[in-house]
Amino acid sequence: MASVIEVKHFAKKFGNKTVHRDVNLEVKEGQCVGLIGGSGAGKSVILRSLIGLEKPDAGEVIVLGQNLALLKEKELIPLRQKVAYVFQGGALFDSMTVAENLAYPLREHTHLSNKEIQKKVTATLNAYDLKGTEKVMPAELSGGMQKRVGLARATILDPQVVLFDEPTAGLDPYNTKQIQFRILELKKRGVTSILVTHDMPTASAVCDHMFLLLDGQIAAGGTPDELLTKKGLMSQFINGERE
Amino acid sequence: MIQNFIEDFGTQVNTFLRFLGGIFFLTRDFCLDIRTRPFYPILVIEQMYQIGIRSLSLVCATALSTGMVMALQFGFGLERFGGKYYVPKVVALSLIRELGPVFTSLMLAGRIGAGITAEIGSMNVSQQIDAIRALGTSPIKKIVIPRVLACLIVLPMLTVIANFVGIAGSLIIGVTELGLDPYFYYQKVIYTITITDFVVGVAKTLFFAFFISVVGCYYGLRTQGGTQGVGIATTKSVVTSSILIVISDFFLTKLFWMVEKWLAS
Repeated sequence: MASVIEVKHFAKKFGNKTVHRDVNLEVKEGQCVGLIGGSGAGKSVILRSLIGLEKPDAGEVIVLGQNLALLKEKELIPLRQKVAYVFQGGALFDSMTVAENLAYPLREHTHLSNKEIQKKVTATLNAYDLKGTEKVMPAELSGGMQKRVGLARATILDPQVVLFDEPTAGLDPYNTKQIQFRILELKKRGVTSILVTHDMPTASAVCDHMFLLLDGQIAAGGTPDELLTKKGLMSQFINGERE
Repeated sequence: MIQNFIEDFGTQVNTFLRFLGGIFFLTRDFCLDIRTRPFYPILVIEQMYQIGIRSLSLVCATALSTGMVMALQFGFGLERFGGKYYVPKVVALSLIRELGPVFTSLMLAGRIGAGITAEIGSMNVSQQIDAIRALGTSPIKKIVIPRVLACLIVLPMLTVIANFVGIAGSLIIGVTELGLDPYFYYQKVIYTITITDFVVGVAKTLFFAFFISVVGCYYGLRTQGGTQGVGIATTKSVVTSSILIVISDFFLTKLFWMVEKWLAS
């Protein structure tokens, strides 16, 4: 399997604070990889770098064969149609209805007619168990529904890579299951994904491989079974024995 | 103590230079992106409605009040020297060349500048700006260009309306309080104001509109720290654009006088 994502010697500082010293990771095509670590460890920063929302201070971020560190904002636009980002809070446009939010990427990047867009939006909402929410404003939805709309919007263009930023944080068991189901469904379709999460049950249910980010670098990596059963940094982190 | 002063001064200079740099880069991005596809005319029209129609009552109230107050002040002031009949000339010239454009712009800096910053700032802290970028679109094209263009189109129009309303207000006071003949008042205004006076006043508002919208967008896009950050950014935006309007007004007035002289010679 070919590498879809490669992060090499990634370093990032914010002011005087060094968040990443030397992060290296690789994700193969079709894999679902979990990235875990303490709060403030810089998991989301890595995720944001994978779509060019952050630039590394040093190192390389290669996604679908392109080094994002060398690309300008305009050059990132074609890549962002193939790589989707699911924001922690959904990041839905609050001045638009749910249907308009979903139609946004279709209007920007496809030549579909209004009728076709409407059809696709309705089909996607039905698939995500969001029937009847077309005309609802995002603020009127529950947190779980907002996350599902965010996921639906991010994946409506059938991306090759999906980046999830804490997709199940703050959700009830039903909505957590729903999100897990969606991630597994994307995986079945061969979509490569990275999941930043603190939710270990979800990570072990959907991930093929997991990385632990600690002290600005990858401290441990392996399959969920390996990492959860072995005694080591990962088990210490999961059991709350270290930050 | 001296060290603290130097550190504070250094921080202020640093902040000012960052602001100048930020405005420069935002202006550059605006100038580059406005020429390339995709274009979003619907967004410009929406913003024109938000900025123009919704500000109309505020602008008219300000202009009416300004015209009436000026007519009263000049009327009673000049009456002592027998100069009551100069009121139409003085008020019309002041309104058209100076007070109409400046007061309208200051009102819009408060209403529109704050609105732009608060809206973009809220979008920024709720990651909606990041979402625009992550979905393969440009915040400059989607957010900045429609607001700047709408301001550039609408502010001169509002100023023209404010000029007429202000003069109408002064006419009402001239007739009712100063006992001037309405036809005499109208004739004096028409003979005093030239096309140049009118154009100079309106031309200034293009600069003011640019300051209000670009400063509003700049602070909105740089907002950090949740709702408190939005409040701070909004205050900074209104204060900065108001100061820019007042200071640049002097230089623009001077510049336009020089141009007028040069054209006349």
